[in-house]
Amino acid sequence: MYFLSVEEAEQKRMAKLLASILDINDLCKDVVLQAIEHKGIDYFLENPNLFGLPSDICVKVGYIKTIIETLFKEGVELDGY
Amino acid sequence: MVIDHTETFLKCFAKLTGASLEKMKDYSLSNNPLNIINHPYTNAFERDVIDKIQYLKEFYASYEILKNAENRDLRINSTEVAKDYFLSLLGNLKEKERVLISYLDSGQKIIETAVVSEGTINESAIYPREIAKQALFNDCMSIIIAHNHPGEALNASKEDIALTQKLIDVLAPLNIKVLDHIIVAGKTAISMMEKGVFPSHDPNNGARRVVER
Repeated sequence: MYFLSVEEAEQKRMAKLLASILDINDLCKDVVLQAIEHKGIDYFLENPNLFGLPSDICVKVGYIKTIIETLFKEGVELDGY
Repeated sequence: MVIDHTETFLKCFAKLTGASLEKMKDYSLSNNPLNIINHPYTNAFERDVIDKIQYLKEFYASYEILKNAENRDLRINSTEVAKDYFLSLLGNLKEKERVLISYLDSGQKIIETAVVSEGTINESAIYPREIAKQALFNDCMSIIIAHNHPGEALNASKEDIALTQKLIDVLAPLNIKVLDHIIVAGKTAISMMEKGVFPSHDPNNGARRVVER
């Protein structure tokens, strides 16, 4: 049994999912998790280049930011959720 | 349906997931292009592309939960507010059961909402003793428990009622009230209090267990 805030639980889940989407190694995954935990998901999506990640990963994070923000702004509801 | 940022969205989507831009443009002619995240199979994408889209879909679900969780100043002063609040945190979780507890102050404002257990479908481990410790640590006056039923069964199980009873009995001597137990199933939430299945405090519960032994 463990106690995590909802935010912490989701940050960990997001970092894990990001690693799968971005095809990154464990080291980069740790960087992503630390970045999200300390700065928040919005800051990370906005400034991936500030965390020493390879440039191709930063470009992909930019794509994710555009996709997620568009879905969120348009209020797209997920099927099956 | 055409939206002005369709082109940018589709290009980013194609570059990130490896999905064919042409196929997505075709899909967009008669569908909302944003819905592509919901229907990767209809576009006959390759397996690895579909996997990435599923990850992206889950990431978006997580993002929505995180945004909803940022609402820290909420006062849970009615069943409806409680149902809406936990629906926003658990409604997007379908792959596993998650148990949440909101620790509330005397004005029923949220001090903290914590994930106390995450399990596979239908299986979550909860230890009331640990929850009591956390409740004291948060200096709360009351708590509300909530969890999701991934199978979308919209009723309280025997186990749900037994767990609620245990929590009530453990927390009552500490003057901490369990106000309700919310169950989220898909896009709907029910309150055990509202359904009339919320147990009351049994002061002899501990003593009876000793005698039974």
